[in-house]
Amino acid sequence: MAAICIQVRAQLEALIDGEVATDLDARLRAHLADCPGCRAHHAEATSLPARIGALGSPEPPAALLDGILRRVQGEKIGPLHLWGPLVVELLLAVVAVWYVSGLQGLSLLVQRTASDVGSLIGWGAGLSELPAPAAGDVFLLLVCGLLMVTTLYHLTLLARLGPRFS
Amino acid sequence: MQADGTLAALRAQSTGDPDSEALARAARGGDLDAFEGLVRRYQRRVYALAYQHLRDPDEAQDLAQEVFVRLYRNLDRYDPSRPFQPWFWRLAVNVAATYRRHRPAAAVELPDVAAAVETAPEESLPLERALADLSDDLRLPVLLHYYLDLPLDEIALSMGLSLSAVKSRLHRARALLRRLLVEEE
Repeated sequence: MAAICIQVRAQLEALIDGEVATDLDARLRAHLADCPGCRAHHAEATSLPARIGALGSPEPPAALLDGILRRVQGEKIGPLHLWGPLVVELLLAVVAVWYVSGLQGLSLLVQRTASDVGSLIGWGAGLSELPAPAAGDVFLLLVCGLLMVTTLYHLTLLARLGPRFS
Repeated sequence: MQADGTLAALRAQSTGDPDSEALARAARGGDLDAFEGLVRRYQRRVYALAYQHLRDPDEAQDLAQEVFVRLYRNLDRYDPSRPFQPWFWRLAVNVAATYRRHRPAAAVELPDVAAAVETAPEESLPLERALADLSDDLRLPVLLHYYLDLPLDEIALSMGLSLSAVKSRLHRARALLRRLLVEEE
């Protein structure tokens, strides 16, 4: 293949898109008029967009729409689903507050916790025994753990609604 | 069965489509019927794009479904004061691009293409093979522009590219396709 043909064929895409300067356009077309090989390439390049546009595809299956609607309906969050966890959260919060016997109980709990932390540090320094957790603290820990899990789940539901929720 | 004219008619219809904006606004407010209307309006083009991109009917259905589910989940991010189509195709292109990344590259087989497509002329099979040989970043702009007739500026927006970058990819893709088709012969 002549060097000129290599150069011309490299410019064919730009020529088809009308992105070459006028004088270059004229020279390219003059070469195409004289060169059957490059002319064939030009015809091929010109026809390519039309051939791509004419490609056929099968019809979308009926199951496509059904599948889409099934999935999005499964993602809809009803009011019971959305506000149900709030009832559980309130219940757990009431249990926790009742268990610590109100504010006074909460204050005692904080004091006990601080004392345990001090004992733990002492144990680490080899100065005291490891404090044994009170059975009640384990129960309270369980209730607070459940409350946290429920609240996190509830927050994910609210986040999925996003601005729609407002 | 799919006729090329049907897809061409849909192309002509869906540019600058105020009905799509109205449906999107309603769907954004939770109207599932409006969302279904959007799906019906775009499913053929989305499925056609997915099919030409993946060359497998089941994968195409999966991808098309993913596009519309992602549309449903992201309707809140659509700004109703702006045209719906560019925003929608940007979402569809993103889903298509990331879909391939999460799937292992499969060998391209076209045993049932001629059976699946009613009026496929004999010379379209090498072209489909050649398209399948393109990388995703070259194939997608080709399909969006020449197959779905999207304007270049909309493709640039959809793919997050400059206009000149899209043109460059189209040039490279066409040159590569020509070379592949010549090798096929």
